[in-house]
Amino acid sequence: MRQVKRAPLMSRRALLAGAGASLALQTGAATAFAAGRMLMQTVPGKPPGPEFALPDLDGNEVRFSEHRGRVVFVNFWATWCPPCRTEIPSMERAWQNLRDSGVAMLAIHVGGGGDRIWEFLAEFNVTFPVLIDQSSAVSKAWQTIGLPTTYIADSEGRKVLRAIGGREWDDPDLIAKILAVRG
Amino acid sequence: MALTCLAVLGTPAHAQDAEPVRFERDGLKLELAALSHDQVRAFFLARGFSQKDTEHIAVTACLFRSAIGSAFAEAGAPAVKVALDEWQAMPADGKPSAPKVREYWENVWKTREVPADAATAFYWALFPTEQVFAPTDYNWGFLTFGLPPGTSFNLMVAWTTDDKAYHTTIEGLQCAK
Repeated sequence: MRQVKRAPLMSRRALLAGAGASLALQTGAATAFAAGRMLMQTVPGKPPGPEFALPDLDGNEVRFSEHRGRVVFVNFWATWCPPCRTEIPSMERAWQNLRDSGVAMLAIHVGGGGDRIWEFLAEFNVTFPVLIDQSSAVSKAWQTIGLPTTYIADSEGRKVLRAIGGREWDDPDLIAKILAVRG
Repeated sequence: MALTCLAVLGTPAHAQDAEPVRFERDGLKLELAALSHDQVRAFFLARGFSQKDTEHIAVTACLFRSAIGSAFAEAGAPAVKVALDEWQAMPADGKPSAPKVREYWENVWKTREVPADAATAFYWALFPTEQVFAPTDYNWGFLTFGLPPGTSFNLMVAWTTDDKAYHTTIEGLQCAK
């Protein structure tokens, strides 16, 4: 299994420091929806997660199948999506919990984003791998309908859990549920 | 079919004050607010639309932001289904019409030959045409009603919870002027 390359965030962060405020539309995003209890749903039939080969932020191709044998957290997002922006810091905290526990995390940006993605990742100090689904074909193949949507795939690449809408991913219940997928 | 009329008359949702309408009923949770032309222009210019196409959106779309999903927070609670083609925008002096959904705009952008990145962003920025929500699931997205700027209208919102149909009417919405 090939290791997923990690993008050299720090150097680009430095370049982007002070590059300006986020371009996302600030719309007072749905705070009522982010509050309270958060669940993930079992995906009926545990269908296989469709294979993909997407570029990371350095242009290196990353395949879903490279992660076979690990639980994979697959998140579809965009810089301009308010609940995506809200949940990303909690994804980073979850990643710090999960990265040494046999769990991979892939954040798939839907559509092109250019330097706005770097700016965003620098703002939130993100260290997990980010891939670009420029045409959104992969997002649709995974049956993603809206953003953000997150799937947890098991070690055989099957979609076993799903969350539509933002979550606080470092919530202990959600972390426990992800770890339980390891079996 | 359960029929209700939402009591938001005291706080009409005008673009100018951008105060969101919120309700939670029979399994559905909803938040809705009109966007000003400036907000619309800023968002879509940044997504790669030309000035001309951005203006087309501002003038023809009557765009609201929304967050819609399940009000249930217990595992095993029933599914909530939303289909935008069952909704009706009802202007006082016009014909009721369903929101303009992703598939409508895809054709518009093909005709206007907008850049692929811009069309992709528009697709994903709109609330999905149809979706089923499990407990605590929700989606964020724009709703477009295709009404002229400044139009006041009532919105009939329909959904099903556990396969039972519900609807309610939000009165006093207004497109940005």
